[in-house]
Parts: sequence; C-alpha cells; structure tokens
Amino acid sequence: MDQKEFKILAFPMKDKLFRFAKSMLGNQEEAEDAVQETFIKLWLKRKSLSKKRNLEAFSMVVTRNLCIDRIRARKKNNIELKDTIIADNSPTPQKTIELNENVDFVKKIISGLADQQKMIVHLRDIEGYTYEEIEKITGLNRNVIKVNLSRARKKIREELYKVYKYEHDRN
Amino acid sequence: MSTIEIRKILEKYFEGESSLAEERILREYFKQEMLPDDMQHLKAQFLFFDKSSRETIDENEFGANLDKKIDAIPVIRKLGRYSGYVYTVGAAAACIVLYFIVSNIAVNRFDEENTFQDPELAYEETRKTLFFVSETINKGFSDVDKISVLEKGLKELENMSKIQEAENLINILKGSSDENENL
Repeated sequence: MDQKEFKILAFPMKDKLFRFAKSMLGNQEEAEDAVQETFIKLWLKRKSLSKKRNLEAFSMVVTRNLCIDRIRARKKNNIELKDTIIADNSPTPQKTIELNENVDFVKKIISGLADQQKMIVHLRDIEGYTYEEIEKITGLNRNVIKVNLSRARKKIREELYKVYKYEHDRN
Repeated sequence: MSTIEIRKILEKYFEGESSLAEERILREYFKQEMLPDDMQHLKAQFLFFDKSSRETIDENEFGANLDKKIDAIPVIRKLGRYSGYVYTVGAAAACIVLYFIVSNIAVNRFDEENTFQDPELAYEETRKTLFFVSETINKGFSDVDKISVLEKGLKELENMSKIQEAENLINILKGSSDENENL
C-alpha cells in the first residue's frame, strides 16, 4: 500500500479521530498531534489494515490509547497544567452566559467530567455510535457505559440549570 | 413532534435508555427558537453536540504534516523495503567468495600432487621425508626411554612391599602355630 492508497483508506476517519482526541485532551494542538500519531501507527501497520473488519473502531482505540498516555504523562509531569484545567473547568456563574448561543459552557462542563464519562458522552452524543461500537472502543460493558452516560448527561443538565437559574433570578 | 413526546424521550435520554434515532430527534428539536421555559437550559447541551459533531481538521495541513512525518521514518521503511534485496546480494557475494576459496584450494591440491613428474624421484623424496620424520620421532623417544628407568625403580620399590607381605604371612603362621600349641 502506497501513501496515496493509505490516504484514501484512512483520511475519511481523520475528523472523527480529531474530535475524539480533542474531547479527551481538551486541546486542539495536542489533539492534532494525537491524530498524526494515530495515522503513523496505522501507516506502520498498513499491510494488515485492509484485513481489519472494523478499521474505524480500531483507529478509535489507537487514538484513545494515545490520548490516555498523554493524559497520564500530563498528570505525572505537569501539575501546573492540571491545575489550570481544574480552574478552567469550574463553571463561572458570574460571567454572563447567553444560554442559547454559548455552547462553550457545555464544553467546559464536559471537560470537567471524569475521563471515562467524557469519552462516553463524546462517542454517543456527538458521534452517535451504537452501544456495541462504544463497547469496542472503550472496552467497557454496556451497563457501565449506560450508567456513566446517564450520570454525565444529568451533570451537564444540572450545571446548565444552575447557570440558567442564576441568570433568570438576576433578571 | 409534540412537547409531551419530547418530554418522554428526554426522560429516557437522561436515564441512558434512548435510541440513536430518538437522540437525533432531540438534537433537531432543540434547534428551534421557541422552547418551553423548563427546557430552555437544555438548548445549549444539544447545540453543543450538534456543533461539535461538525468540527473538522484542515485536510491540506494535516496531510502535509503527515507526509513529513512519514518521510521522517525512511530508515525503517527503506530497510523494510530493501532488506530482501540486500540479503540476496549479500548471499550472492558470499557464494562467489566461497567459490573462489574452494576452487583455489582444489587447484593448489592438484599442483601438489604433480610436483614430481618422475615417480621414482617422488618415491625418493617421500622416503627422505619419512626418514627425517622417523629420526626426529626416535630422538623424542630416546628421551622417553629415560622415563622407563624411573619405572624400573618404582617396580623395585614394589618388591619392597613384598617383604612386608611375607612378614605378615610369617606372623599369621606364627599365630596359627601358637593356637595349635594351646590346643
């Protein structure tokens, strides 16, 4: 398989992989790097790629693992970064938030979720994967996925409601 | 879709029990401007999902970066691609070298066998050589003969131990004669 054939096979997945990495890492540049790394790994395995039954799920697993490695390295080496993320995640009701427009606030809530919940919400609510596919990508069983999904969705609702109520009461 | 139906779906959604089709309905529903008050705050949630699902990566830039990275690993790639070729050439070269060595040895042997054209002369030369060898060996053996002198001495020492044996025998005989007397 040459570079051209490889691109035809793998490039349609790049946006999905990018979005997944971005939701896990919360950072555009790092997400792009993770996807590049994923593609390098796929390239090195190009001989067996066409035999893979579910290339997309396989690629998502590769990306997931690379992101987990990055998160672990980040936690180990860079406490400062971790702190800024925590500070970033806390909802700030002081800010005026236009609920209908400001979807960035939801992004903040999601980035404050546990890694597992973040991953599951992304795969289901953003990418629209079936539970079977999510099982494959995350390696978790259906019940764990559903419980975490429910908790994450409720958490987003709860935080949004707090802000909504704050804005409403002020007006 | 009626608000009642939407509420039912929402209930399932927050319990993690809604289907993908139902979730798509929710996404579409929350795109509208007019929403019941108690659902207003959920708009951002579904809008965020919708917006996020459309995010893309710049294809040209991504492709160019990837090409650079793939080109940066040529050592592994080229080794992988050419290893068969390198090994084949190496093996062929080794075969040629081996052929020359073996044929050279064979040629040299052939020459040695034909150093002498006259068989009698060859016989004479061989005899001389063998004589020289046997003489040299005999010189060596003459030194070895000296060792046999040492051996002789050792044998004589062994004979000394025979005296000891004889003494023992005498003692036994004495003992038995004493026993006879007592009887």
